[in-house]
Amino acid sequence: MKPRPAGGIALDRALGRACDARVWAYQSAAVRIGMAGVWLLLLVHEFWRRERIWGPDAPWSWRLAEHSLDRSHAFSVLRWSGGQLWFEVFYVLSAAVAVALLLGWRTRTASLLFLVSVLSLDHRNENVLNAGDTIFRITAVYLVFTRCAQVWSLDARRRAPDTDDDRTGVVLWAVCGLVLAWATLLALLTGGWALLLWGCWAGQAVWRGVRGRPGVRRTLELIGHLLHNGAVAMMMIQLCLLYGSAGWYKIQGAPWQDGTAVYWSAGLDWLEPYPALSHALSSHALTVLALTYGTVLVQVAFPFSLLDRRVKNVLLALLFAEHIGIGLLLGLPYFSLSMIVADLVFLPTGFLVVAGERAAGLRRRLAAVGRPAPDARGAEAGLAARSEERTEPHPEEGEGVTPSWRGSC
Amino acid sequence: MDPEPDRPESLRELSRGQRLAVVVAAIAVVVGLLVHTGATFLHLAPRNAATDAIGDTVTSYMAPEFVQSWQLFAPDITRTTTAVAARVELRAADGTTRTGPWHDLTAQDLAELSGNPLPSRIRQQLATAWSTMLASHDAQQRPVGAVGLDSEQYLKRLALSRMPATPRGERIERIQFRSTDTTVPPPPWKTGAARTAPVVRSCPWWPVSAADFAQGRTS
Repeated sequence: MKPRPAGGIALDRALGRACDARVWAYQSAAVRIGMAGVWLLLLVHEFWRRERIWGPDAPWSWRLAEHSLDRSHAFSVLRWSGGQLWFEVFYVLSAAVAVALLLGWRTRTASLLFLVSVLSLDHRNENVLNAGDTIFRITAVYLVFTRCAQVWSLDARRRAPDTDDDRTGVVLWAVCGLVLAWATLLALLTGGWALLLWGCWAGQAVWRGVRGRPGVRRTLELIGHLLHNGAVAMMMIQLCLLYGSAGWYKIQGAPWQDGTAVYWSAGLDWLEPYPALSHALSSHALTVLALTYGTVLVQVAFPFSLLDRRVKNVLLALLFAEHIGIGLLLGLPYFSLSMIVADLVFLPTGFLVVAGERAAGLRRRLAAVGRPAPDARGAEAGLAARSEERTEPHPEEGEGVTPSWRGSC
Repeated sequence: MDPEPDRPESLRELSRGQRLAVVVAAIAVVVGLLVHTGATFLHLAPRNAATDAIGDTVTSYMAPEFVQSWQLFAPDITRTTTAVAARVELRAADGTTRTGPWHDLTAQDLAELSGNPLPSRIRQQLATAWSTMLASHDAQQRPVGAVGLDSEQYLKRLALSRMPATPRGERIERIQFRSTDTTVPPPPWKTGAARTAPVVRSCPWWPVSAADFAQGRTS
């Protein structure tokens, strides 16, 4: 065999790493489950108020939304019809898509439909959005490109999902094609979105079409892995830019400099679900000062903490605590949940694996209580076995010698 | 199941053309990440030499789906709370008109929030509608463009959907809005800071038409 030049080997290694989709398998799955769960919670929570927020005859009427969408050029399938039936169908299907994504059922399609659902509902009434919805929407875009169903999903349980004769997948694909054709023929779906959605649809067909050509299939698979890693990296970069800019803009303001910002926000009646608690908290000068400075410090420091995984984990825990505090004390639960699920991408793999095992163990125990002597070693056991594979220390991957590119996982 | 290849992924089994495809894809992904990161950064940054040069391109790239701002409570923090109230003018069948009492519209949103760990986002509508209306009206309180007109209709639909049913034989002719801005008192440990009195702002009377009723209401 001809000896390969050193540069070629280094390139091979770098490419091999970039093409390794297992690196952020658990993180992307956690974000997937978190986002689907939050969206499902929102749809169920607002079910009785849905007409008054997004319905065709809501105060922000279908007509008003149309004007707004004409100006912003944002995408919403709720624009396609001002009828009551379309709205109800959309709402129910949105919940179904969220469940599919939560369980990791046909995730490639589900994640795209999830994005369509999020964009459509968000843009139908932008008056009820806050910054949490912004990061949720952007993360949903990146999530489409990830391989977020490698673990903790029904897709992972099905053996070799793409080589089997997946009739359900074909039916789903055909139905999506029919809906796309209907929307395109009626000129509801045009421009870039038409290209994008048809492209994804055709991509599924191509993937199925090259079943008999392992080389081509392997190449496409590796490119998919590349996109996965790129998208997860982009989620992390996006959050760094978020925290960086949030912190740096704060530093420039007088209330953040003199340490009274938390006092002022605790005094706003529209951010006070528990006024007595807010006032108790904001009556101590030093508590207010510490919370104000601490908020800025954590936000500014977080992007740089990615250089060291221990510091990163400490700051991540502080960020989670801050989000929970904001969610409860300022009455912004969805803002808080959106930030938390986006931040899940920074959790360490070891932590996620253990959390997954605990959850699987708990489910096994619950199942054992429910029905005596079941086949406890079902698919959960398969997942646990996979997890055990992961927990065995890899010679290259000990705690002390983690390569820097993997430090943030 | 596919045999799990050794970590990292091996590209050895690929043909020359296939390897080239992967390399090209890798370059495309890296370029994509750089472009998107750069655009997001410039989109978030304050005005500077770079945004002066390519700011419009960046904005058209980011809009509408990647538009974002993380200036949450920053640099300054709002210190006022706004309570919006509305009243209507009713015309009876005999042609006489009367003005109804003021209804506190913000109170409903605060009630939704009070003691509720999971308040509905429906409570954000009025505050957004009010600030959009203020931003889309000139100093003489006239609507600026289509946004101004739409903001008026939104406020009217919101308010009328929250007000009690119109008595039989009467119909709503006009509606008037009023806001009361209250400033949060300065912290007790800050000596010498003065409290400010609430500021009341009244809008002109706006006519009400059939399009201003929401949720099945017609009068």
